[in-house]
Amino acid sequence: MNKRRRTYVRLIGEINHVLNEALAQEFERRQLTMTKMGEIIDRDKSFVSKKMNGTTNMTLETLADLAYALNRPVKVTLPSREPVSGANHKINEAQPQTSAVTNGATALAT
Amino acid sequence: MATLEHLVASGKLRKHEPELDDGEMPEGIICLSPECDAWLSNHLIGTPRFSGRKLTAYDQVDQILYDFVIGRPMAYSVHYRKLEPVGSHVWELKTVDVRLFGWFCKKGHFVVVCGSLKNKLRKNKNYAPFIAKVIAFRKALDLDEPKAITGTNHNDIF
Repeated sequence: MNKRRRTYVRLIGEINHVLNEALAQEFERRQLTMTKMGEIIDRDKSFVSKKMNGTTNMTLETLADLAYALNRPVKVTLPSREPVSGANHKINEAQPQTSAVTNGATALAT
Repeated sequence: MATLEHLVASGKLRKHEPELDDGEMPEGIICLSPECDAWLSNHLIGTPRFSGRKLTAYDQVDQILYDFVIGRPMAYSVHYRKLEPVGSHVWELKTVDVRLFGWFCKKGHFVVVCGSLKNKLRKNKNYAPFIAKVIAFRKALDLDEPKAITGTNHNDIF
């Protein structure tokens, strides 16, 4: 798998992970379930489940809906892979860093 | 008898080492049997993406193995499951479209022996050949005893 494809796969994995972690926390805090999330966004549990476990494609609007149902703001970051040591940070043009995705890349913050 | 590391060095297993980003540290170890390695590289990688899916079957495997290695939380029955009979200590790692069969040799150490597309399993409704394959591979492997974790709880294996 090339790096470009892997970046996409990791993004999908990150979104699924962050959504499910948020739901687990909200379940602990206020017993939020996928059924209740569905009620909040006028969808059934099956729809929510398929989006949360990554079974089917998800639009940004659906992602925002799930964040709304979780009552969490969406935060998106693209952190640099290289440490910034000053103002003259140079990007390797042979391997553009603009699509870097790490653990903090797409997060639904508390 | 040999440790997992010796078996990897001798080529009887291949350690799966996904590329990690800055700040990520491996917390789990995945080893693949030669059969599974070949199945992933020669068969699964060419399987087209199923309708409506975000990821191909191969992508899904790549992601769950990565999740395992970096120590992401895994949920019983969603991401992994112990198979019947539980005394055989055979487990499956699960993605939406793929099942990977193997066993936990230590906490956080999983050996994948073989795999299948989920839709093929559904047609046959038969896990027995895969379970038998894991047991036979484990038995033939010159791994230090005890070869398998026998516990069933999350804390036994992660």
